[in-house]
Amino acid sequence: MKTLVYYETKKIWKRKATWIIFSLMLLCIIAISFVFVSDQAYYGEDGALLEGLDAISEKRNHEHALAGPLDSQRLQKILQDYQENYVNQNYDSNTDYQQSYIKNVQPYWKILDLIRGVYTPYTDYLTDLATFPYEQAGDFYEARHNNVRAALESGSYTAAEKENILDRDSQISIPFEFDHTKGWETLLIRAFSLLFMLLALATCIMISPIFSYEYQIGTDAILLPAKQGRGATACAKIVAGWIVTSIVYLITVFVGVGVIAATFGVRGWNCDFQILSLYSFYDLQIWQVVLYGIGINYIVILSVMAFTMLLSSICKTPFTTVIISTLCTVAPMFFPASQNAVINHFVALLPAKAVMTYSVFSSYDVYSIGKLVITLPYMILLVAIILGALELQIARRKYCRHQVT
Amino acid sequence: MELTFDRLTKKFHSTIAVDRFSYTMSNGVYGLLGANGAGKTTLMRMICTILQPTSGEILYNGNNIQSMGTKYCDILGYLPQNFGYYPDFSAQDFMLYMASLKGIYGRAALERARALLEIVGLSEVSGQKIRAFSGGMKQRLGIAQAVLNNPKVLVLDEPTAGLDPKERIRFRNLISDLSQDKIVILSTHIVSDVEYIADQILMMKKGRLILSGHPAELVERASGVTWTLTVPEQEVSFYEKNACICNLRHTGSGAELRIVSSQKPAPEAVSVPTNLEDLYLFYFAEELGGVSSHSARRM
Repeated sequence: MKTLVYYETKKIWKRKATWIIFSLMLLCIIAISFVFVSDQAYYGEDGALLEGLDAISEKRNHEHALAGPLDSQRLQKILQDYQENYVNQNYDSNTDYQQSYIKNVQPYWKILDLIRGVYTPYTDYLTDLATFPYEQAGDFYEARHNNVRAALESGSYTAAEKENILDRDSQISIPFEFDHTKGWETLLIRAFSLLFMLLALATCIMISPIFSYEYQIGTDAILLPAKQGRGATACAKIVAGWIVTSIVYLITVFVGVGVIAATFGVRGWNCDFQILSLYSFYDLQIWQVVLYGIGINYIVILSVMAFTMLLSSICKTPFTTVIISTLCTVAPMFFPASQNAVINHFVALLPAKAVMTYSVFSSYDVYSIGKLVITLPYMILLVAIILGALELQIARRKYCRHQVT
Repeated sequence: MELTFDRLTKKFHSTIAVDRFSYTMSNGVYGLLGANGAGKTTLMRMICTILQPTSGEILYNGNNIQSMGTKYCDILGYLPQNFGYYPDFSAQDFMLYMASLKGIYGRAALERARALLEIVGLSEVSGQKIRAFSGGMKQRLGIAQAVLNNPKVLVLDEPTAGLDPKERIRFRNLISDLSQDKIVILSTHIVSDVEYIADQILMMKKGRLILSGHPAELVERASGVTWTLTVPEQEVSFYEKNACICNLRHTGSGAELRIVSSQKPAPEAVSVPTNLEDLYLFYFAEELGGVSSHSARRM
């Protein structure tokens, strides 16, 4: 079996398509990271607009100076300072106004946005906080929890689902720990979905020939009559696919996370996830969400691999396989949200949506099976594992029973 | 050792590829002759268990080969028509991969692979990628992989297709060397490939076994169907339209025709000894686009 796995792995690595897609993917990741860095902008203390790495560095220093727990009193004070030192000031010139912004708003922007999210949740702009009476802002965490309750009331949730979400929400760690989190924000909100969609695409391309290439070039006729040509070969192909997918996954994630961490820094790793997603009901720190994301997405990518293998065992050519598997994997990314909750629940489990870790851990999608309420990340895992195992089993049987005609 | 075919039938929708094929083989080389579409490849695929029969069965020493599973695969060697290979593998890698598929590992696999590459004359290029091989080299690699497990049943489907005459002779000799204590089933539509090495010839037509026997016996059985005739040049076209001509040679005084026909094609025609190629044409003239050998006669 070991020898078979070795040769099956070698077959995948020897294909030009594998190296081309792998190299392209790494190039894409580096290019995307460059874009993420280059579109950063931040005002320096002298009023000059900093860009790229300079902007990241300045912002990191300013926000890190504010690191620490965000208790309600501190939040109320920040809001009060914002209104007194920035909003309610008379400015003689635009320069004064800008200087005040740089000093009183820019470093606090992230925290002020959290406050806005709780007290004026249906608005988009920080300026909406300008007139909110800061005296009423001393109950940040209660108000936030009440907003969660209100959102659940307006949604189509069962009593058990509401209770489950509220229970989880009441258990999140408070006060939130704050620090500079731009790197993690970029990683989770912008980089992750791109990174894992590229990985899914690469998996489709690398794995699609695994069975169908044998049918296409006629080697099925010499493999299948061999003693180990059916069951053992099918298993070896599956193991080889898993090895290649895992290696590519590890390298890609390492490069992707590494480049972001190297450019944005790792500060803020131990902040609460709610700093990035205020209404998330998961009691997790950012590093935990990243790790969960990497873990869940690994299983999702393996399920994409299993699906591609299933198609490969059915289709006569790798080209057909790669077209169908890519379409099925990538297309749901462009599905708009439906009015129908059932459709949304289904779409949320598809790989294109499931790899969007930030959305997954921000979502209020829960699944009821009998009395059991399952949250979206667990449901994704459950579905990916069950479907993946089923698809691999069907692929194996399909290949073993393949007829050379 | 016996391989028995019992009313073996394969249908593809409404087309019958193999029709109630019954025969018993024991040690020896069996040449399967037939025109394209006669059902040879379908029959061979069923022997190799990569195609399920619609009805009937194949028995190896009394056991159904389908139910024997890997035990049967262990004694089987197969070189398919249009032998598929991995272009980026070297010959040695390919042989070692095939060895592992056949349950031969480690040192034993390496030794066997090297020995066979030596036998088929590929040992000096064993490190080269298969994509760089000529058609003949690929076919030799194909036969080497087929005999890796020293099979008792060796199935070779059109092994000489696309080879030049020198390669074909080399290939025939190779098969002859490898055929001891085996059932070797060799399909071809090139008669000379099996004429010298086959112990038995099986002729298939439209999925059916129409003739079987030792080459000499078959030729003997068909004596009196081959004729030579010298005709003026202007009559050649008449015979081309109305007779199964297996050879035509222009001489100074006209054209010398070799005709296969169950009836004397012309009063001046002279009967000559039949060979296997004549016999083949006698049965397959229509499939080959010619005139039926049963109908040609000048009034």
